[in-house]
Amino acid sequence: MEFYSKVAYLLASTILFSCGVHGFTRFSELNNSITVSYSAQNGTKAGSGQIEVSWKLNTSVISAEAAAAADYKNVQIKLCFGAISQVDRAWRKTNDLLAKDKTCLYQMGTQPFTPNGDSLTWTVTKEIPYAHYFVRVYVTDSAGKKIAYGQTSNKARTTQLFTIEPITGRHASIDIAAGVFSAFAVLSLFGFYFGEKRFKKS
Amino acid sequence: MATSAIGNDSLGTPGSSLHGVTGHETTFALSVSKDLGDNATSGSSKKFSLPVDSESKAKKIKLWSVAAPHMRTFHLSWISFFTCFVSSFAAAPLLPVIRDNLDLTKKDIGNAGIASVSGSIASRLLMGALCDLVGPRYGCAFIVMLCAPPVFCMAVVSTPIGFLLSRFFIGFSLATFVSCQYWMSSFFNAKIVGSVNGITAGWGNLGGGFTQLIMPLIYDLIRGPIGSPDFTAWRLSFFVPGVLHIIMGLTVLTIGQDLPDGNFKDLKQTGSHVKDSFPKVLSYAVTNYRTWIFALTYGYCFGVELTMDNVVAQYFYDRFNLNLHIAGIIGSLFGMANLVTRPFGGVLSDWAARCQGMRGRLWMLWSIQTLGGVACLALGKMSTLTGAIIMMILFSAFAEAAAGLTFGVIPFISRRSLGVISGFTGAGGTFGSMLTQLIFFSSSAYTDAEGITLMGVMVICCTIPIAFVHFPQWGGMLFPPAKGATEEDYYVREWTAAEQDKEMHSMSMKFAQNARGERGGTRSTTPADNESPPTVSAP
Repeated sequence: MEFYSKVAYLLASTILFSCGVHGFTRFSELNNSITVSYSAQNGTKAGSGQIEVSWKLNTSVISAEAAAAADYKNVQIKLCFGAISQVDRAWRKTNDLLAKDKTCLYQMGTQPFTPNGDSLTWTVTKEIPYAHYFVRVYVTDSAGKKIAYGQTSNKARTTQLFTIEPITGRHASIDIAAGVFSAFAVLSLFGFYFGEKRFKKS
Repeated sequence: MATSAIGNDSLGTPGSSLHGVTGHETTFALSVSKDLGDNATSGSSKKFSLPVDSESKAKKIKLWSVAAPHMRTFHLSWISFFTCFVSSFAAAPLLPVIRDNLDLTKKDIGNAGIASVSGSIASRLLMGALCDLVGPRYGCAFIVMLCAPPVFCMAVVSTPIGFLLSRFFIGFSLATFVSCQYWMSSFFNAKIVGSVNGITAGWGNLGGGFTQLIMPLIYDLIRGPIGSPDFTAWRLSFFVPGVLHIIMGLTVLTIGQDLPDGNFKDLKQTGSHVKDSFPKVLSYAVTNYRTWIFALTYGYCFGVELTMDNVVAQYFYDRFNLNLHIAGIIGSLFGMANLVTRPFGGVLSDWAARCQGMRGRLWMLWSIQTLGGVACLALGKMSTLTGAIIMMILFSAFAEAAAGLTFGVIPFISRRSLGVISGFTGAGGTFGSMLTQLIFFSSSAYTDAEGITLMGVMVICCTIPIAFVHFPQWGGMLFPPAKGATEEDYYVREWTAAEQDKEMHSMSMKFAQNARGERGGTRSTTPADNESPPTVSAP
């Protein structure tokens, strides 16, 4: 039995470790105490377009002193998928357990927390795919654990969404190179075939 | 049985392009111990570095040699097949990037995965005809070179449908399996061709694993030191398999040859052969119920292997939050196990036959494939990374060995229709892959983890039909052989009285005698054990 209890202990600790620094924090436990506003056009271009986000503490939900007491230390500003872009895409699924949640995969920036809030202008990076997005701000404590949030969309993530136009990743030079290589493959094959046929005849 | 009727005025006998997929007889060693006659044969004055028989086919294999023509052809052949597996499954480890660039849904990804294996059903059949017409060298070169443009097209696709079409056409290249087997059966003696084909099939399948390793590394290299954005880097990565296709195609064309004595076009091979009728051969294949059982069960060893090649890297990436190249390394372990597992399956089958004959082969096949299903079931349930990796390795070992074991039984189902039955089995394998991808990995009805578990259940259920295979002369899993049934009775059933009068069935009878080893145990003395070494006889 001792062996089995050791195995169970090992298994349990591995599972606990895999939850990472978030432990078992759930999104539903977080306090919605941040007001967030943004300005972004539909079809903001990846690589060049910009998104402006400004956030501040919602004092009607929690006062500045209570926030300081709760150890509101830093904020993370994240780009999150709207519900419409999560359909049939399990790799973007929302999960209440923050360790497994994939709603907000892209981080726009981190700032220290102040009750009066701050703003951020972010240039959309090139790996952002096409989707409908909203902005969410997480507040973290000194240990890095998420304790509060605010977002620009509603709870169901269906309102106030904006799209980002991604880069295609294609270039004229790639197209040309692909064409040249393909043509070479086909021509050399038939060249060999008919060449050998003619050589055999002569 | 005509082994290489190419070069004659008529086309090869039906199924001869698949001859040698399984052609093994009762000696199990890799080299032939009994001397089949003199090496200095009529017509061939070349000196070969390996001992050869009267058709200049090698009787031994030396894996580390590249001597012309036998070993050089061996390596050309399996490397071409390997390259095609690399390009067919190259998209799988890069899916996390591709799905973002092309805005794919799970359905799109699933459909493309199905398309990647479905093209090969038709192309394998066409390849057989092509090899008969122009020889295996051109057959191989044709498919390898003509499938290079779709690989380059991957670099320029921008829609889900473009992605699907690219994967579909790249999948055609899996027909090199046929050219590989055909080529090997022209170069290696029938006594070792089974093992040789097991090695080339296994090492070719290795490509499906190798690609999971190499594509993320190339992608990281282009992204990192070279600094391309993600969506460009994956496109550039596809130039690597594309260029490999071109290199292999050119190599095959320049240093390959159709036959040990030269090229198809330069030689005219004489030799009598039995011209068989395709409708008859097809009907004997189709009316033998064992054909259908093995076509089904092959879909649940080889088929699920192809499915896993498409699914495993994305699964590890999503479930365990690994980065792309770690997920690729882990996923590659699945396909790379083929290096030893598939040949080992063949060895296991032969060992089981030594102990228990055909019943041993069937029991071994059923057990190993069912264990594969159990491991697959467990894989989906594992929520820790280490557990998942262990289950994945076990699953790959059992599934791939089962594929090798299946081809240990196939040669005995029929002699006349061997080629067609092998073709059916191969098609059944691919069909099984399409089916599992369609049911479990194309819709959001199941998560990938649930899909893998359910696939394991399906493997276990679809392996049960093996219990219904029964040979009158050898028995089956559940029932012993019928009293008084002989191998000759079984194989002569495929020939009508008129055909027997014309002695068309003589090779089948010879095989029947040599197949007495399948009785297992003490009943299995073959005539060969009692006679003096056979002399070279013209087929």
